[in-house]
Amino acid sequence: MKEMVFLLFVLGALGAGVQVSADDYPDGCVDCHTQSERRDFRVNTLLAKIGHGRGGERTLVIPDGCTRCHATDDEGTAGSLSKLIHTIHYDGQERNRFVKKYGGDCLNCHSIDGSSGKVQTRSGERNWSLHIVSLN
Amino acid sequence: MKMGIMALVLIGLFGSITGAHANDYPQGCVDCHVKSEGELDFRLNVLLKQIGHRWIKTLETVPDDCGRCHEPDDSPTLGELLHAIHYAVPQSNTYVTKYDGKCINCHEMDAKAGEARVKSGPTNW
Repeated sequence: MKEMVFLLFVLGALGAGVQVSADDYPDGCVDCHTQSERRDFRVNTLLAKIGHGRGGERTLVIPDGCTRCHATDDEGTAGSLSKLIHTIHYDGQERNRFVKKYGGDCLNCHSIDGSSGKVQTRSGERNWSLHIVSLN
Repeated sequence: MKMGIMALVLIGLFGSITGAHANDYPQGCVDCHVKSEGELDFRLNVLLKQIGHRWIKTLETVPDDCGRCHEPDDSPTLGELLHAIHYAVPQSNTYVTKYDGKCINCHEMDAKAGEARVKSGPTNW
C-alpha cells in the first residue's frame, strides 16, 4: 500500500494525471461530427438518414446515453455500439474517411488516464437542439 | 513486486527504445522491445528480470501468455498496468514522446468485427 501511495505521489508530482494526446476532440463524437456551412455532419443528422430518429431525440450525452439500448456488454436491446462504431470508422481502410483524414487515431474518441491506466470513451452533450415531434 | 512495477513505470518514462520512427509492429511487444547492437537491451525478459518478476522462462507468446497469471479481474489489470507504464507522465514518457503514443503499435483493429485486439508474438529471448 505504501508503495502504491508513493507511486501515486511521484506520478502526481510529475503531472501523470494529464490526459494523453493533444485534446483536439475532448468531447469525442460531438466535437468531430459538427455542422458547417457546407454540410451537416452531426450525429443526429446521420442517424436520421438511416431511420434512427429516436436516438437523436432522446439522447442527451453522446455516446454515453446510447448505451441505454446499445449496452456495452452486448446484452442490450440493440447491438454493441462499440463494435458498430469501430466498423464504421475503420472498415474499408483505404477509403474510410476517419482513417484517411484523421489517421484512424484511437485517441480522437478515447482517452487514457496515465495514472490509472484506464481507457475511457470520450463523451459530451449533443450539439443539436431538441426537435419537437409532431403528434398529428 | 509493487516496487518492481514502480521501476517499470520509471523505465518506461526515461528508457530508450530503438527504431523510434517505425510504426509497424505486427507482433506488438516483442517487435518494439528488442536488443540492438550498441543499444540498450530493452527486451521484456531483461526488464522483467530487473524488477524480480518470476516465471519469465515459462512465457512463449507475449503478452498472451501473461494472462496465465494476470487475470481479467486483477486490479490493476495487465492492460491498465501497461497503459500506465506507457502513458504516465506523457510529457516525458518515451512511448508518448518517441512513438506518439499510438495505440496501433500494440493493438490492431478487426474492422469487420469491430473489435480491437492486442497484438502478440513469440518471445525474443
